[in-house]
Amino acid sequence: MNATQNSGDVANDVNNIAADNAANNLNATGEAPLLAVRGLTKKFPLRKKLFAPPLWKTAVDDVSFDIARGQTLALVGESGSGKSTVGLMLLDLLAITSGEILYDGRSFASRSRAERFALRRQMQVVFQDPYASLNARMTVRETLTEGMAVHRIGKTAAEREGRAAQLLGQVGMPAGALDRYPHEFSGGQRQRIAIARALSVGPSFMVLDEPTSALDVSVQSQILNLLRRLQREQGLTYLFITHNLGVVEYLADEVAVMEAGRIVERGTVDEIFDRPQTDYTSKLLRSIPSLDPEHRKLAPVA
Amino acid sequence: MLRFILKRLLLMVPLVIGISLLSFCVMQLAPGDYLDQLRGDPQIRPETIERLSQQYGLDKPKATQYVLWLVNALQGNFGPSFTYKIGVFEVIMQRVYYTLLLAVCSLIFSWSIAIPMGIYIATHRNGLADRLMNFVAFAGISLPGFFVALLAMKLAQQTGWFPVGGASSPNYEQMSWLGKVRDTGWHLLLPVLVLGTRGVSGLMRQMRGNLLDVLSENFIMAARARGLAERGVVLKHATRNAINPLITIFGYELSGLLAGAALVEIVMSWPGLGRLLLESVTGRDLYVAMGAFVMGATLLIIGNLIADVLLAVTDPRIKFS
Repeated sequence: MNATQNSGDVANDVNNIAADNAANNLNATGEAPLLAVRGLTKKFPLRKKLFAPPLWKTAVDDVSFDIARGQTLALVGESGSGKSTVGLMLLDLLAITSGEILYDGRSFASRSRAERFALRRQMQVVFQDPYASLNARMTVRETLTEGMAVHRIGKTAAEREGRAAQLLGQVGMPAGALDRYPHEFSGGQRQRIAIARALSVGPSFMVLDEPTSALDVSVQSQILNLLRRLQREQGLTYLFITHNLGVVEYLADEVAVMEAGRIVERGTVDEIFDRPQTDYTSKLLRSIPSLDPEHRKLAPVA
Repeated sequence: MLRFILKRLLLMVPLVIGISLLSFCVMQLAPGDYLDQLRGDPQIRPETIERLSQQYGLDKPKATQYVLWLVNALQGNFGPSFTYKIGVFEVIMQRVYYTLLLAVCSLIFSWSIAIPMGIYIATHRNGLADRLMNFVAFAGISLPGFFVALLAMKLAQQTGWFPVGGASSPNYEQMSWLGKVRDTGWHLLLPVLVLGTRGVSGLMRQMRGNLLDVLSENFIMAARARGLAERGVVLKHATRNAINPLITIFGYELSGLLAGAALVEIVMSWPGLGRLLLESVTGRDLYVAMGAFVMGATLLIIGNLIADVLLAVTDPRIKFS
């Protein structure tokens, strides 16, 4: 990661990468994926009873996938299929039950506290509901500069504010929004602020957890366009979590379909859309609303 | 903001007048008046009673009595107290001082314990402290205030650590300025503990619940994702959002304290407004009862006004209007 690491760590790194390469089937360019997930599992304890053995609910079950740099993997599935739980674990916000997540070739577990803190700069998140994901008590200025202060980005408050104004420009908001509170904005504008907040610490990987599902249809495409432009300009890598296959085509390179905590199907967007292998995926595909009157009927997913 | 407060204060006037009319009517529901007690006494001549009746205006029709009281009250004269033989205003102001002293001290006590405690048990959920406080809180909510007050009196009487009732020592008037403060504080201690403990129980549970709700919100996740330390997440992001419903409670709490204080005041012989109200109603001291009703309502309205202003100050979504 940095020059101050001792040689033991470096050797460890090389080993890790070598092990990865063997396991991963490297992509055409021979570059290791930014993110590699191996056998990821999350179990939540259910209600404990006094004399009964503890029961566990498996939310995520042995999930593995890679995301190459600058690419978007869409994780699709109905609600409750464990998509968001995967997202939280990738962000190091939820403890892993078993399996491992390799970011840049190294697992979370092998990193020190300070390194895991530094990693937070690299990975950010945009949530579904822009009404619940912004702190109503903080001005946009406070929201955007807080992360920078935490990671010592920008020497002075003035410098951070300058950056915050720049970020607003990047997401298509006027700099005058800085002194206003979240409730003064519409849903789409709030989502732009949430995206600017994620960008404020300069991440290279973002988890987009249903970023457009709570928005009006007309605003959805604007936000998707914005996300696509940001990815192109800044080389961002996305994990795009959604239940709506309709928006997947637009943003994703690859698709992984989740059902009840497992990945049941993986492939490129074309493969999944044209030749779905499982019944579940076909049902998800049929649930996309169509403008074609011949195919107006929506099929229930489950 | 100033305009908002002025408007609310002006709106108070008709409300308070309505309450005075209501309290006058309530007082008339029971048959007879203060002088009936004197009429039963063979040692008092009918002429004396006749004279008192005229002096207090009790011989006039009810409606006239009320209007006369209202006209005088608007000029600052709230009528005489039959039992204390002095003006109602003087009687009440002294009691208001003691009631507010008790209420404000109890509020400070309960808030300064309940908020940090609520934050602690919310962030250490299902831990030992959480379970223990859960038990303590339910005990505090379930035990009636007067019962706790009785236990406290028993404690004071057995140990001699605290004064058994009252608000000041007999030699209070001879004390120095500092001595008076110390004496009042010493007398305040038990009533504040009794009243404050009840407040702590409810507030602490409320704070715990609110904080847990807020901590599950996505903006908390986003703050953690940006690398904020957990302490900052809880204190800066979560607490500021969790405190709002408590400010609303503050308004109710003040009224609860004024009402709930009455029982504690009576048991611990604290010379407050609640005790005065009860004494005046049972003693048929008409104008004192009306004055106490009006004063209690005024305090309640002002308490709610303070809560509303605080709410608008802490929450950017609320505007004065």
